[in-house]
Amino acid sequence: MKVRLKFMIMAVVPLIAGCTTSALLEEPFPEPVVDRLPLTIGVFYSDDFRFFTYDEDIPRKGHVAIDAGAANVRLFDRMLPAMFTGVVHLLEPRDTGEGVDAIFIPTIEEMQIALPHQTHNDFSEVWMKYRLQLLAPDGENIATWEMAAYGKSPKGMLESEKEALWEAARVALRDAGAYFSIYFSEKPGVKEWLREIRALSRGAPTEAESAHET
Amino acid sequence: MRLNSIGLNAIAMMALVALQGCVPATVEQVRQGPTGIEAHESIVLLGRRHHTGYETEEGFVDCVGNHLRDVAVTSEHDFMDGFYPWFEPRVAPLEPKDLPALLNRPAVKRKIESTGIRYLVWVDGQTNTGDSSGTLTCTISPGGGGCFGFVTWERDSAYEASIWDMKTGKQVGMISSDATGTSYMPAVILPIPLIARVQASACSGLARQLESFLLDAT
Repeated sequence: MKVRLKFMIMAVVPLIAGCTTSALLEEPFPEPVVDRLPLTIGVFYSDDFRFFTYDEDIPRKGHVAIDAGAANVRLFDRMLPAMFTGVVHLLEPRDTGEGVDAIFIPTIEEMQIALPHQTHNDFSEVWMKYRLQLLAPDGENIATWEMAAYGKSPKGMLESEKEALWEAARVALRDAGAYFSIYFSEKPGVKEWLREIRALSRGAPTEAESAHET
Repeated sequence: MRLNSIGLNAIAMMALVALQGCVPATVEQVRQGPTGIEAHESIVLLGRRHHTGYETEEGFVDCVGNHLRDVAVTSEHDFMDGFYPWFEPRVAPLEPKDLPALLNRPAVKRKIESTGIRYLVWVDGQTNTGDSSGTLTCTISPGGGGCFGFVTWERDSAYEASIWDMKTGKQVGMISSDATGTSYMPAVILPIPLIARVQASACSGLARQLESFLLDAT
């Protein structure tokens, strides 16, 4: 009976080990401490963005799958409402019936990972490359720019390499959110557009813009 | 004779074990401005994570925080989330001259006032293990197994804390803590690791000096 139980446990453990989850990527992102721009942004997430998954078979380590699309949707859904006074989710990129000031379209162009045994250091690493586009309501391009994000995580004594990888992915996403929320207003094209918006509204500079210029 | 030999070995082993706790840390301090902290104010300890080759160990930063008895400490995790994105590794201010611009941002200023964080302490450094010497051989046979030999290696902990005053936007001081020790692993049948607790020594030295530095208003 005892021997049978031992074999049952030994059979179950590999099954559990094979069901690697990315629970770390489901953790909520913090709300950025930034000043809101008085604008309404329409955001469109394509299916390629929403369902972006990184898949790789790593020799001696098995299959790695990271559901980056869902995590990125949650990331931008956290960042955008903190950066703008209004956010509208669009079903189509040109669907501007809601009356938005601009349309934001993020794209994940590339994702790469590295485990410690591949890089011969103590860290798991994740890189992500985005292409971000801001369009006027009539579809005219305001600005298109690339953004890179990077995350690394040291492997602890009891932590598996895959757990360290999820943590590196989470750090990379936080890095993406940080860079986006801080430098959005300074991107070429965006900066000029914001000035035009202010001139059109004939209002004073926003609190964020005044603080930046000082 | 045999009994005396075993007794001497046991005494030597006990002496080695006792000496492992005696790893002194060299602590130095440079004061650049007045300090002092009110009862409602707190500090936050942040590990430097912008280096490509290493990160300040989270365990060391936690250790320093745990050793501070008379100063309120806000957790690094809560601070990073509460002030996101301004202290993420890629965008965090690296030098004191970057602090005033950050503190002038209205949203950041409001946040600091609401949380009561007075000092930001950047902890930078790591613990390294040097080359080892000696030999250790282990064998397993149907009749049993065991190890025999003696290995030593050096461990070095070097950390530096930079203290930034969030009220004035200036750096008020720096404290460094260094500890070096030799770890041993004698093996007679079973290997017995005797690890020099250099990191613990550096941690307690840094924490003691930091607390004294913050509470001394001069």
